[in-house]
Amino acid sequence: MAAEPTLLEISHVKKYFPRKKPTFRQSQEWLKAVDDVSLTIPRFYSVGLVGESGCGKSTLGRTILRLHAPTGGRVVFEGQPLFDMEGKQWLPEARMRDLRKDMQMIFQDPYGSLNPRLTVGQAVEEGVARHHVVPAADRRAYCEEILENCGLEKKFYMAYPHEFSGGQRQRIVIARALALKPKFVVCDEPTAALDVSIQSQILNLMMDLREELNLTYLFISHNLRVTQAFCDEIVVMYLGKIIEQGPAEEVCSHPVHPYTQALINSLPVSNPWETKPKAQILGSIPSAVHIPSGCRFHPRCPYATPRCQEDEPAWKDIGGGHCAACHLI
Amino acid sequence: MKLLEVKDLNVVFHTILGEAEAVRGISFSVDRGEVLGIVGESGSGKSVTSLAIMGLLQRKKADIRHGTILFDGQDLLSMPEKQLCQLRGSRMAMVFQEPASALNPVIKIEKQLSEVYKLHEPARAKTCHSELVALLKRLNIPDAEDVLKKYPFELSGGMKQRVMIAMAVLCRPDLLIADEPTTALDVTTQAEILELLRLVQQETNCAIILITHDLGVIAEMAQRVIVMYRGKILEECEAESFFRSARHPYSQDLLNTRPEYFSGRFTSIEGSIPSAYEKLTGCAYYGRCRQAEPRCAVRTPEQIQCGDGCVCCLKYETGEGCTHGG
Repeated sequence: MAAEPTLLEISHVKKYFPRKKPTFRQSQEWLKAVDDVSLTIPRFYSVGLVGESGCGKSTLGRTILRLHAPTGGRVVFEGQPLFDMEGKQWLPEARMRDLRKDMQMIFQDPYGSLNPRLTVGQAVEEGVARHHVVPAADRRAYCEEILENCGLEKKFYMAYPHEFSGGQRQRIVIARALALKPKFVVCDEPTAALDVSIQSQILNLMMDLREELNLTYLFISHNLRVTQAFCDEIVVMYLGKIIEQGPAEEVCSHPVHPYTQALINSLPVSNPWETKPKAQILGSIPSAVHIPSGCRFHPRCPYATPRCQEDEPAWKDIGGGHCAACHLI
Repeated sequence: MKLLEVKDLNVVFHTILGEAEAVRGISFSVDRGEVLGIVGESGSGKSVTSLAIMGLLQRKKADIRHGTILFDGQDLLSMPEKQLCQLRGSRMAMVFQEPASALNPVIKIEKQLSEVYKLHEPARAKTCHSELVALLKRLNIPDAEDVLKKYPFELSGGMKQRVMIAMAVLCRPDLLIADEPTTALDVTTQAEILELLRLVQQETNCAIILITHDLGVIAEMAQRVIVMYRGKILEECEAESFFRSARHPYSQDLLNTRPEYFSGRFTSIEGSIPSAYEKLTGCAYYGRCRQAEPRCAVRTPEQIQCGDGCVCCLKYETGEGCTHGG
């Protein structure tokens, strides 16, 4: 798979949110949700993005699709720059809108991402009509087929979202995204709101559709076990930066960054007779307004040295495509 | 005498859509100092059971058709509200799933915590500040003094859940019900909260009913497991034998859906849980069960004593397969 060409190239992407200015203070404070992230996503790959809530993983997903206005950096999709803040390039909104056919998003909360006033059919047809995926005469049949592929029978075509359970709604959201035959899909915690049995159904569906439609996924999740199984590659984010990256199996079996190790040790055991090392990180993720100096993880890191407080660790390759940013490697 | 005994509990909700039978005749008991895990998908009736035990179901809407709930020998269902209020918060307490909506947003943490004392030990309410600080410190809240002066919205999710646990254990209850205490939290915070519940359990020797749909949480915490499905208990056994050799097909399927058993495909349970409005004949799991036989559609299985627990499946009717293979 290594020879697959690049589908999406993200370089030095930044997204800062301005904070409300206190009355008598002059300087503007920024919440650095995504701070200089570079990532290359090859075609037909599933890349998993993991981290605690507040680490900027959702913001990154949205910034790539230009659902947030970026603060800096460059994103190139199939050789076409979506934005390049340094080169002051900006794909015009109309062109971007056409390009959205190829870049879709599956949102976390299936209760919030469907318009309650549109029937399932209308919700799916809307995008298909906008992007002329099929001739108008075939539209209905096409949408029914997509819904059926996603496990929703024809009789639900005229039903409204409130008539469905969480799992079914998530299927509608997936069908709506995939009806446009996209090339790249950002999935923002697609199963977080669902039960375990339904979670497996949805993940299998997403895997089947990936084969069928040759999709590339950016899979955002805080569930490491699911990500490990679903993705080819795992990217771990902490406070707006990527701290470890590599093939999924490799990162999960031999994590090198203390944060990744802690994330894996925090997972509950699979069976009561198993034991695991105690998770060693304390406290919670600091605010992205006041980012710690040096290595961002040092205040919570059990192995922190004085050097970690001063120098920002460089990105190191450990071989086999496994990289991490830590002084201790 | 067991600490809590639930016998043949049946809860029906009257709604405009008709009657919804949320809990359909369940019986179980909890010993002192025991951690009992209840698992099941959403809609299986686990939360309704816990609300019924706490007496928090709205009496207008929820109809407890029959059944008894004995807490330390006293019948909770026939108890007057006033007496129940004295038990709640002091001898039995609850930790809710959403700490953000369970805490009052306009009252500072200190006042919310001291309210527990005000109700149950008025003499201590005025002088409890140092006790509260000590308790919060015990629960790994670093700047306890500051936290007490804050409003809930100023705290993170994990911190709020810690405050909820503090509130629940203030009067050292005998029974603590934790309804999905870590579902809304990150894995790192989840590990800390579970550690905290373990600490509380060891120090106060209270019984914990842990309701969750995450089998990992059960594996970490529980000694005994109850599997609920559509208002019924399908299986009850020791945690270890549950994970080694669960008997009910639903338990087996649940165990197989865990993502760590991924091999090219995620194992899933097709279909979804039947709605509470449907009148059921036969086994509730019929239709999704891969081991179903024609008789499962018509005959309702009874609970059968089986090894160290019980199971509710026609497969074990003859008593066969009831010994654990280990």
